[in-house]
Amino acid sequence: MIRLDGVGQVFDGREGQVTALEEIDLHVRQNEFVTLIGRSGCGKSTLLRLIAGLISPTSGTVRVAGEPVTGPRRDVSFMFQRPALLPWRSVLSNVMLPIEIDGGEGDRGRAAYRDRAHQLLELVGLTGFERRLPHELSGGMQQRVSLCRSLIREPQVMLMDEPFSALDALTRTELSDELQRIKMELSTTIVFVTHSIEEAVLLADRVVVLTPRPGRLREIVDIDIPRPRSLGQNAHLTEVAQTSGLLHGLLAEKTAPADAAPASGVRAVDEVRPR
Amino acid sequence: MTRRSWLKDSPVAAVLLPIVGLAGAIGLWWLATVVFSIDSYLLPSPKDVVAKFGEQPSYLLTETGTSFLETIEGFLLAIVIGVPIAIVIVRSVLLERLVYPLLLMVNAIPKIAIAPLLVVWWGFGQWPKVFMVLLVCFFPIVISTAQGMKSTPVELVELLRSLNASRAQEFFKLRLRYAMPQIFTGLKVAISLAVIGSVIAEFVGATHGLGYVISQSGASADTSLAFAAITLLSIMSIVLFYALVLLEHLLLPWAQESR
Repeated sequence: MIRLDGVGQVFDGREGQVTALEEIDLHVRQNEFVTLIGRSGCGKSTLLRLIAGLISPTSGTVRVAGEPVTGPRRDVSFMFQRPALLPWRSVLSNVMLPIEIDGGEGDRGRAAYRDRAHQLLELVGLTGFERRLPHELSGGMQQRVSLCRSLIREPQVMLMDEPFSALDALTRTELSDELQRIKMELSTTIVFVTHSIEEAVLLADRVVVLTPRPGRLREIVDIDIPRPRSLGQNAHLTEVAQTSGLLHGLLAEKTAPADAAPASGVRAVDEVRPR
Repeated sequence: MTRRSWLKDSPVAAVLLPIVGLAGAIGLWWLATVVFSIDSYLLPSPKDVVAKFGEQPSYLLTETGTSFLETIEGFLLAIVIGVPIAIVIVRSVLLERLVYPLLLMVNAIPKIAIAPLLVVWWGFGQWPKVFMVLLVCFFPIVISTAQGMKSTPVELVELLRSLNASRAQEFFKLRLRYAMPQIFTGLKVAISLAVIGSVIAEFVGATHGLGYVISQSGASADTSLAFAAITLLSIMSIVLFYALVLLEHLLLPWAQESR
């Protein structure tokens, strides 16, 4: 579904050039849930923006559904760290924004999307809030609206940039659960950026670990724990702990080993590395 | 309910207390004119002022109408010219560098200094007054609009980009809407200045308007008439200001809470 070949990104900073990403090869399969994890400044958000077509890579190619990405695509949606709701629009109208931007859907099309918007809002438990303005909602509710908005076009790919990181712990867990549920109901490919190991283990089929400055692929870890997963009561505590430990170890490394670059396809190591 | 929260929350208190304050101030004024027996050509009592208005209401109202029209026309003209200029300045660095210092210079000129020139150029008609109002209103409107247009949050711009919105959509659906509360701040500053602008222009060369009434009554020591005109000017200014506040409340119900 998403294929990156030798992708690199160099920014012109104030003090010369900064290499944000280097030699990224990654293949995300259809309906796969991939989380990108790494320390701050490792270029994980940049990688997501490359896939979204918001920026174009300095080197290498990005393909979505077989086509090279030249700009934002209609079947790829982006969800931000902050809800990014337009404050003068009601909840429903915010969810409908992507459809409105598309224009030319015709009245029938728009009515159908309106029904879909209501369904999505019901899915995240916001029935009855359609006419409210964003400032009347809590942070978690706002992010739920944002989630609905990113689902309205029935995207093939959802790109999520730390969408739950600004929320309190409880709301965060709730939303992670909901996202899992939605993922099981609607088939979409999801790339999810996070710096939380918990979130990565809970949500992902595969976790991609990036090294900081320049961002390279350190390791790709498969997570085979059966779904639905939860952080509390869990039949697979050992596996969760093992995987979390492994990810902790990978993230704690100060410098990347020399052979870390062509890491795609590397499997998870069995032992738990020390912190 | 404690007394304090009644004062803060009750709408009755919110309306009643300012009226009590105003009545108190007028009472003191009256008392002063009576106790110190001040001559009415120095300081007329409130009664004299009201009586003056009663003598020639249609004259005073006509002149109020003249000033009101000048103020509104100049103000609207300032919006029609100022908002697009601000938008263009924000869009283009070249134009900003080219035009902005010029605007600052024009703004630095004390407007009253130009008033006699306007009479030389355009005579005693309405247009020089409208132009003066335009001049004083222009700058706050341009500044606040430019500020507003620059204040669009990055994440919202990125959102519209990710939705593949056109530049026009980005402008009308996001940037302009987001700038509205700040534009209104500029409008509220400008509307008070607008009234001052029309009075300045009427002082210098006019045959009509409340400013003309005031300068004439000064010449004939008819202080009560001047006070009546000043009162009408204040009322006009307050009405215009609160009309804008009301409009903002109706158009931008989201703005009070979410910024």
